Amino acid sequence: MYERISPRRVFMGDYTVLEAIGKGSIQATMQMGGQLTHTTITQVLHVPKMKNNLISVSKLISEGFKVEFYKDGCKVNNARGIVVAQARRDKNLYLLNMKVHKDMAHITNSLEESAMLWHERFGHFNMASLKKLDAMVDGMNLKEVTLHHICEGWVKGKHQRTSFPKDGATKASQLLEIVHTDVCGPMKTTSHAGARYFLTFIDDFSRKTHVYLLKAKGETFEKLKQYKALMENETGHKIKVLRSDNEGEFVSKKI
Amino acid sequence: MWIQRQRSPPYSPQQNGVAKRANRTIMECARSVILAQGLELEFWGEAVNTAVYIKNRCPTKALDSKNP
Repeated sequence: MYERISPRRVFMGDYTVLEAIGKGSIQATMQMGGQLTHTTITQVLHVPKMKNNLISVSKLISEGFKVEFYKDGCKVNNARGIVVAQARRDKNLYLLNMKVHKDMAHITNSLEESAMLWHERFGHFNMASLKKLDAMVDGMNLKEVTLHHICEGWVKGKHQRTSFPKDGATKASQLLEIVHTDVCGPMKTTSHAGARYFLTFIDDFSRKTHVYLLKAKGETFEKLKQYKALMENETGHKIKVLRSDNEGEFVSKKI
Repeated sequence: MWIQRQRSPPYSPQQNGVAKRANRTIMECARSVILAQGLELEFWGEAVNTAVYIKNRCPTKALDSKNP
């Protein structure tokens, strides 16, 4: 309910001229005798440079209202004699006891934004504390802070690592392309044959596991040769990649 | 040897995850077998072999729930 109009001059009491650039109607809440009533005021001019909102008595009268002035205030009656607005006198001005509504959709939008803006201004400060801060100072005006608003930058900042790529580029596509290996041990007890370790080989493609029992880690290389010979004969494929950790038994020069 | 070597960086055994996980599975299985049967701990070698034998006959996710 707002339209732009071609600029129109509005004369102030001290002969200054301001420009009205729009026209519309506004919603307002009035306080009358302890009761709140909602009113719509039509044909309101939008004068950006004007500090206060003024209501024209002569316009009210020509719309059929009656305005009564007293020493300490005034009343506006509609054509049927019902009081629709009250004002109190402050020095030489009569102030209407009313609060103008802002456009509702616009309110939530701007509030949300300003909450996020303040959140960012305070270096992504947490919302609960921001709300407390809002209560302590003037001019922040975050009436409806959404505590559960998720800030993307904040969530990203909390992450320790980027996630692993979902497509495992390291997955084998045929037998023996990748073989995983690791040694487990030493065990507290030796087996009957005197082994204290075991060595596993896992083919990445088939997940076939082979295990060798070792007396010492030094046997690793020997067993690797055995495994390699066995598997390559059995499958006709060659071991391409052997993936191990970097422990001593796998970094020896022989390998 | 003519096998390409891939080693995980030092002090980062996590990158050898497949083998480490398998070893853990094997040890858990072997330990359960020994303790459940009340065997002497010296039989762990046999238990490990059994565990691997069993593991090779179990379905695995890497093969779309088939066994190796």
